[in-house]
Amino acid sequence: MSSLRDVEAGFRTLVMGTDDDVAAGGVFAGVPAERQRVYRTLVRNSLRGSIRRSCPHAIRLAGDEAFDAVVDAFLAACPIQTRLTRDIPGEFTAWLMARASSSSSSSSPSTSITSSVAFAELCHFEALEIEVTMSETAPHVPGGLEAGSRVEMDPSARLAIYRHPVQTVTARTTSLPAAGTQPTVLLCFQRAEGFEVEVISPALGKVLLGSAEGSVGDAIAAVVTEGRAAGVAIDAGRLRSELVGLHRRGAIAGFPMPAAPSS
Amino acid sequence: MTLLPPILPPHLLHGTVGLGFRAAIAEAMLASDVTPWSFIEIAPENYLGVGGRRGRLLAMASERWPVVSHGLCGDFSGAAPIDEGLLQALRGFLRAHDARWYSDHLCLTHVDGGESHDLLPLPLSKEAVDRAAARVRAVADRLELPVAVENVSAYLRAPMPVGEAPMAEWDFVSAVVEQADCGLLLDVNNVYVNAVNFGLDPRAFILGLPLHRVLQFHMAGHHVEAVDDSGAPTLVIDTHGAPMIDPVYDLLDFTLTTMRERGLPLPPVLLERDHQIPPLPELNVELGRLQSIVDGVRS
Repeated sequence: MSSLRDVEAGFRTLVMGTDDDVAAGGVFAGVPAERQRVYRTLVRNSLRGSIRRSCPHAIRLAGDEAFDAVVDAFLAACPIQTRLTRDIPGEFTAWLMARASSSSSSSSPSTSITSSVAFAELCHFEALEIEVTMSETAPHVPGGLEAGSRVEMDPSARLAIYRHPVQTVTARTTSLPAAGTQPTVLLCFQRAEGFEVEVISPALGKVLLGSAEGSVGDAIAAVVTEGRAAGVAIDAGRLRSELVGLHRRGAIAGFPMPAAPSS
Repeated sequence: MTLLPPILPPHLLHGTVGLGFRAAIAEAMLASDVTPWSFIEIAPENYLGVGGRRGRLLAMASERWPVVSHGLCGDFSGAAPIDEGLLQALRGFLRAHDARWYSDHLCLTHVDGGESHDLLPLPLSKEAVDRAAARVRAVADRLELPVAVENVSAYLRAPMPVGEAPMAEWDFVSAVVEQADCGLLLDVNNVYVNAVNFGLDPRAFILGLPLHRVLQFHMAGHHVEAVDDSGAPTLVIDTHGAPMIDPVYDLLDFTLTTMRERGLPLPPVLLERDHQIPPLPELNVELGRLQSIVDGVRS
C-alpha cells in the first residue's frame, strides 16, 4: 500500500466485491482477516438493510436467500452512487429494472423469480411507495382548467408504467402477478401524509406527460388524434374531468397559465 | 493555549444533554411532558428534501428545541470532488432548521467510485491529515457554519504508505482539527471502542486530544463481539444499539473533570441511539445519568 487511493480501492474490493474477490486472508496484507471481515459484514448488512426495508412483499415472494443474492449481485455490479441512504433502494430498483428488461429481451430469458420483470416491477413499486410518502408536497393552487393551462404535478407525484399489475400484491399474495394484456399505468402521490395510488388510462398518462411542458389542450388533442389513427375513440371531455379530479385529490398541484411574454 | 478557537462561537448549550432525533421516537419526543434533553441532533441525510409526516415532525421539533447536525454528506475525507449541489442543499437545510453547527466523521465513506455508507478508517498518515484538513476547511467555507470532526470507531488499522509509521490516533485527530482550525466532536464511546480494539489506554487517548477544541460529545452503547479467557472484551463494535456501560460513563466523567480543571467550558453531551431503540422513558434514564455527571463536574 502506498497511498490513500490504494486504501480506498482495497476497501472497495473488501466491502463491495464478490466472495471470490476477497481472498481468505482478506484484501489488506498484514491486517487480521477477521477484522477485515467485520467491515465486509457491517457494510453489506447496512446496505442490504436499506434495500430490504423497502421491499417487504418482494422478499416474501422471492425468499430471503434469493433476495439477498440479488442484492449482492447489485452491490458487485453497480457501486452505490448516492450519499443519501433513502435513495439506495431507487438505485437498486433502477438496476433491477434494466437487468430484467435486458434479460426478457434476450433469446433465452432466465426462469428465476428474481430475474423476472414482474419481480423488478414489484421492487420498483414498493420503493416508490416509500419515496412518495417521504416526498415534499406543494400547496394546492386553486383555479380552473383552461385549454391553455399547463399541468403542474404535485412534487410527490410519480407516474409508473408496468407490464404487471404489481400494485395488487398484498401480504396474502402468494405469487407474482401475470402480465396484463395492457400496460398498467399508475399515478402515485401523497395525500394526507399517506400513499395513494390510482390506476389511470394510458391516454391520461400521455396527457400528463404531454402537458408538463405544453398546454393541456394541445396534449389532449394529440392523444385524441393518436387514438383516432389507431381506431380508438378517446373522449376529450372525460380526460378533462379526470384531470380536475386529480387536482381535487392532490396529485396535481394546479393548472397555471403560461406567463405572458415580456414586451 | 487559547481556551476556545476563534471559529467556535459562544453558545447556550454548555453543560446540557441532548438526544438524537430519530424517526422511531420522533412522535414520542414531541408528545412527552418530560424532556430531559435540552437540544436535539439531526442527521441531514435522513431529512434533506423530505416532506410528509417525517418532515412535519422535524419541523415541529426544530421549532421546539435547539438543533445541532451530524452527518455523512460533508464527505470530510473523500477523494471524489466535493458535491457542490449536495452541499448547497445541506446549507439551505441547516439554515432552515437554525442548526448551531455541522459535524461529520473523520473517516472514509467514498471508496473508489462507490459510497460505502459506513465509516471506514483512514490510514493514520500525513497524507490523510492534509486531505482531511483541506476538505473540512472547504466544507466549512461552503456551509458558513462552525464545523467539527468526530473521532470514529475502528476495527482495523488501515495500511500505511511504505516507509511511514502510523501516528498515534490522538495525534492524528489533533493534527486534523488544528490544521483545519475546526471543532472536535469527541465520541467518548469511540475512544473506549478503539482502546479495546487496539489495546490502548482510553484515558491516555483522551489526554492526547485537543480538549480545548471539543464542541460536543457523543455517548452511545456498543456490542461486545469477542472476549478473552478472562471475559474481558477484545473486539467491540460501535452499534448505537445498546445501553451505555459504566466504563464509558466513567470516561466521560474523567474527560469533563479534566476540562473543568483546565478551565474549559463543558460542551453539550448527546446520547446517540440508532438501533433497537427502547421506549423513551428508558432513554430518559440514560439522559438523566449523563446530566448528573455533567452537573457533578460543574458543582
